[in-house]
Amino acid sequence: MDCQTARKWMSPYLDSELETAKTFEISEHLRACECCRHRFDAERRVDEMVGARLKREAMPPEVWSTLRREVNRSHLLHRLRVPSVVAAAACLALFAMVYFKSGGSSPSRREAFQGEWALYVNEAPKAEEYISTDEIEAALKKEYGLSFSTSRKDTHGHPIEVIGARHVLFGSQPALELRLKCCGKVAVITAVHQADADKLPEDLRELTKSAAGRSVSENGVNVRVDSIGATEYFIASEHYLDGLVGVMKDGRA
Amino acid sequence: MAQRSAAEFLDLLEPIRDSVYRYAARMAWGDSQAGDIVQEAVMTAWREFDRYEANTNFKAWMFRILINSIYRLNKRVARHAGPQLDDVHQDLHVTMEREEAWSALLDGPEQLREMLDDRLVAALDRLGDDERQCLLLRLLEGFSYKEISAMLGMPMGTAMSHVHRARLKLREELASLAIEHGLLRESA
Repeated sequence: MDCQTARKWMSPYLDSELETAKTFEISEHLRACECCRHRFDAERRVDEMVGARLKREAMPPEVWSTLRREVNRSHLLHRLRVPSVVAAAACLALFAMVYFKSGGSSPSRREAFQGEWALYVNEAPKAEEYISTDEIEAALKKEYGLSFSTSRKDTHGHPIEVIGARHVLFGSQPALELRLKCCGKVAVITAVHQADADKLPEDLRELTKSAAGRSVSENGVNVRVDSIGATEYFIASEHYLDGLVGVMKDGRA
Repeated sequence: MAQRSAAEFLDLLEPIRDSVYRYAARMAWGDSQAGDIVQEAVMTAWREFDRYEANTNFKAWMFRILINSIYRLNKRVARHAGPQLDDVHQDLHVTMEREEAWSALLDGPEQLREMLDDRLVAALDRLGDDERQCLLLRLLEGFSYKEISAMLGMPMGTAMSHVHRARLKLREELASLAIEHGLLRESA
């Protein structure tokens, strides 16, 4: 093999894409020809440099985080076409409307809220809507950076029972709803990403401010909004919330 | 819309996310388009995920979609690249001394490699689109000529030629830079 032919095939040789006989011929030529051997070494090093330089370029974390969120959101929007799953947001929106007396909260509006709340707490979500008990902790931790505890020392001695958890749409935003019983009364904790909470309807956004770190009440229902990391969560129950405040924990550690 | 789980899709995507991003970054015509391209490609892949056959090469499948997104989005922006690198002819005129010096140079001190390193990306960006994409798919992402030809819809021999020409051009560009900096003597 002459130098011209060897150089013609050098690139596929570097890529290990040549048939055995041709590979052997080039190897033999490189053994014999110092000039081509230098050329081959240089090309290999340029390849290494290109590879090493470009492999330093990584996807910025914010791009990855946006992609994850968009895929998860699109999955949820597709999956959740059950009217009941919007109940948490609808109910809390009505709560906010009554609480803030937006649009002149009338007795009929208060009744509507009571009806909505009763429907909501008594609603029995379909079994397939609930994620398995094993998945609750993983979903809270992975997607929202939260964990939860029903230990009596965290709940001021109130007995807490987990009914289930499910992915829901909360004011058109993806959220995770944890349904509990505190001293026999239904309590609902709805976790939503901070960025999504900012896109909630105005009444709900107002509620996140007014009920931030404190309990507000209307028609016998208590609501409180807390946050851990980049997650906000709404706690709602007819029971006093003191026993429920310690349920959610920072799950990022 | 995919019926399969988002977690399954994201688990497959996560190990190749940097590959997807850097390929888009090198192939995008606009300055800040890589993020848009990646988002469009990933959401398209997610919508089509039911068509992906489990346990086949997810990276090759994802790259086919990515390449289509790049074609589509690049059409929307005006290209403002500088002049492309000239064609290099089979260069037996390069003397043995220069081959040896060039080879030794690449083995040389770290600052030299860093100097070339900085100019490497600019040189890559000055390759023709076909040459650049074939080189990146082969060198950086490890796809075979056969896979590249299927992804880009070109004969295997053409993909191989593009890789070869891209290597020659890069090599000459880097050697010229070294000569410019007095690190290599021009051959007689």
